[in-house]
Amino acid sequence: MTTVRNARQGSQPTFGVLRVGIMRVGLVDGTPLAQLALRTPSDEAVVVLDEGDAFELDGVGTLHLDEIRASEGTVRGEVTLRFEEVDDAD
Amino acid sequence: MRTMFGADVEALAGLGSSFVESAETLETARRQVDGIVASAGWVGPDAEEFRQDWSRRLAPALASCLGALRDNAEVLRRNAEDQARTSAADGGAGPGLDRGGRPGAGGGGDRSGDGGKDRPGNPDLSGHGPWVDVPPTIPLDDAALDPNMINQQGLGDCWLLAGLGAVARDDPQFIRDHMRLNADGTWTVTMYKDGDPVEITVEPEVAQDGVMDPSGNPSWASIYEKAAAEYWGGSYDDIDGGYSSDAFAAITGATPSKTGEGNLSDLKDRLADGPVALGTEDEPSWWPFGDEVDDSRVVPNHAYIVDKVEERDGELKVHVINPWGPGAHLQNDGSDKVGDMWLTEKQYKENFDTVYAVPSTR
Repeated sequence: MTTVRNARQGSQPTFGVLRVGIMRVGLVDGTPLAQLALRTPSDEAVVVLDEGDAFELDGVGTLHLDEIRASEGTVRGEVTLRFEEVDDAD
Repeated sequence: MRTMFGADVEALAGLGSSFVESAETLETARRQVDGIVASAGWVGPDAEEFRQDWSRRLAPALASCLGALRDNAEVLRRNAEDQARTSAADGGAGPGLDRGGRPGAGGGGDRSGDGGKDRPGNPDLSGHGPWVDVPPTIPLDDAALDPNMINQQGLGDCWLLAGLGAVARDDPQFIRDHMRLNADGTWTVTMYKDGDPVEITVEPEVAQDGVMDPSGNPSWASIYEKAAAEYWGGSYDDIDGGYSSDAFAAITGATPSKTGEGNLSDLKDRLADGPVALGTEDEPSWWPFGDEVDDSRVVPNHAYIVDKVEERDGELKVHVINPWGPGAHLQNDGSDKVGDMWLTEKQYKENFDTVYAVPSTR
């Protein structure tokens, strides 16, 4: 199952067991980046991703950072996340 | 001669953005001076006195000024939106507003316009649905009311959840006394408007994207959150962004305070007097590849619950709880990466700019 969510910095959208804390969304030397806190019952990681990046969480699924909407002078941006849940049938 | 009342929407929105930019410029200056004061090669009693004066008087005064600029930016934004709605209702061309001047999830503003009353039916989900049924029984024991049981999700209501968590930590019985399960399955939450109680009755279903317990189930906080959405305008969007001082006033009915971060000794005194929440700053620039990993754990434009201020490893430290909820894994200092953390005085001052407090309800 694939789920798409828009989320603002400071919120924590959840995809099943995966919590995605939107820590910072801003421009770094002109490049939009997002810092996310990825937390599951078995692991957690703080990652910095580019637009278009994907992060695989073993046994849980793959999180795609489809879009970053960031502005100069602030880290209050927004992101579009797409989560592909692991198919137990695979 | 006819007298016109109203506003130029674009001008208001532009003025609001100017206030935000000015606040950020002032914040940058404050940080720079903070660093210079701390690192200047000046020792002795006079130096110590100067540094203390900066820390206790001047820096908090600047922080208050920053807060006032941001507060007023939000007032301007809301007035611009109101004017746009009014113009549209009158058949005028209400332009869509760029919410770039909005302080964001950690900052909100004046909520006195249409707030403080019960409304029929459910609040508008505003895209945070679907509805999730609340179980017939919700645990309200002290363990369930522990602030670590709060798990914020897709709503930008950290300010509300930090306020709720701080009150629950200080006086869980207060929360129990202000929630009532009715015979028809609805819940009535007693909130306050200008110090007077206001009963908000909600159906036993909550937004799926709203706050839950760590297992992902509706909790007492979910019910309070829904009541807050009704209280503040009838939509979950109405609680997207705000100040914990507003949360404290609406939850407890008491007069809250909102000040600069001060030092940890001051914070400890405040915590002894009642619930305390903290606000973090926006960051005008960001460099995610530095060595200061600890600082990157604190979320900007966010609100935290103050849990403890005590001596650890020979220095005063503060334990803060993120409304995002704890993680399942601890770090070397016993805290999670982002769910909760112990901070030194230096880390505290570098990351937080506002202390929200309210007298205890005990």
